[in-house]
Amino acid sequence: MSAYQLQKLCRAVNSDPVSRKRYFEEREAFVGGFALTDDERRALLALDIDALYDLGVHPLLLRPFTIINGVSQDDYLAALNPGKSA
Amino acid sequence: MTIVFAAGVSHAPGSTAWPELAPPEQKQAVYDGYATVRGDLAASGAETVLVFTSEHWTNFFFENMPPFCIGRAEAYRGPVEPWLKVPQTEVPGDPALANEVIAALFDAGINPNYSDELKLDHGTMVPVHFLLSGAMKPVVPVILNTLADPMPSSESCFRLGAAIGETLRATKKKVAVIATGGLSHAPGERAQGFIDAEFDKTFLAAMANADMEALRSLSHERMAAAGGGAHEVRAWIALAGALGGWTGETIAYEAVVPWATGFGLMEFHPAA
Repeated sequence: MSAYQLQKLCRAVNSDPVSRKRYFEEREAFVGGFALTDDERRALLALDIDALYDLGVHPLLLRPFTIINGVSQDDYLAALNPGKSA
Repeated sequence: MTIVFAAGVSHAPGSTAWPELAPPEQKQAVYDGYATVRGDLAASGAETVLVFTSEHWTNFFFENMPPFCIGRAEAYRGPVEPWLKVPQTEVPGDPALANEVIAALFDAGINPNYSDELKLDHGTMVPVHFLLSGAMKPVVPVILNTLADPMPSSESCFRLGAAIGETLRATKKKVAVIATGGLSHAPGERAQGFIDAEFDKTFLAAMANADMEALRSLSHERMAAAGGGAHEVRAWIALAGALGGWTGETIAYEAVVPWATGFGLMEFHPAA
């Protein structure tokens, strides 16, 4: 699983204002435009940071994506299960 | 004319975005070090600056990921990050030198991408800010993929640098060459804040001693173990290729945990 579409979605929200607006205002429809697996879709809609990380979203896409979603640095690191290896 | 100045520098965004979080003596060592490099660069008489650099999903993504991309724009703008606390800056390019480099690489059998429109993120703008603000010179960005797996090997980056070095030694201009990135850091990772000081020490020693064998064979896995950001030392390896045996002098090294980076500054000189 390459997580290509999932990462493409995160990058669009991070860098494209039109995509960001759609993500916040019509999330289901926006997310439906990307070919996600069920696990990816669930993790994304729940903003399950630990799962998104494990699904393969690059850390330098995931951290900015969580910043846009209002997640603090401390909350971000706490959400990543520190018991796992990097 | 030739290469008149060379340095390797880290570009951790914390150095401009949240400098106050670093212990004061570490911050001062990094700022003093950057001031030294800035002064020596200015004194070298360099007319233009070629930068081996990296980017962070700013211009490129998996739909089209070049291993190497050379900027040949008339001008660039940056930084793209509003939080970096670096003023929006127009950075002049040097399309003539970029074209010279691109043509020579093709002749040497190395095939980079090139682009007439690149946005600059902190990877290039932090060094531009510290080294060139108020004393701007034209810049040729050479962006290496140090971000997306798979990425070019150390050997491949070294060969790119070696071919560019040959071109720069034959060009009419006085050129400064800067490598930026690294050292050990793991931004956004579970291991964020971990700094592999042993990796940094070994790597800086290899750069200082122009230990080509060690640099050319540095493995992807060893870099990865020092954090995702450590892949950016490929830019330094390209610089070592370009310099063909110049030795290095550490200007500063600080493992700055609040900036989550092993921050290295090194200048290079022709071997006596």
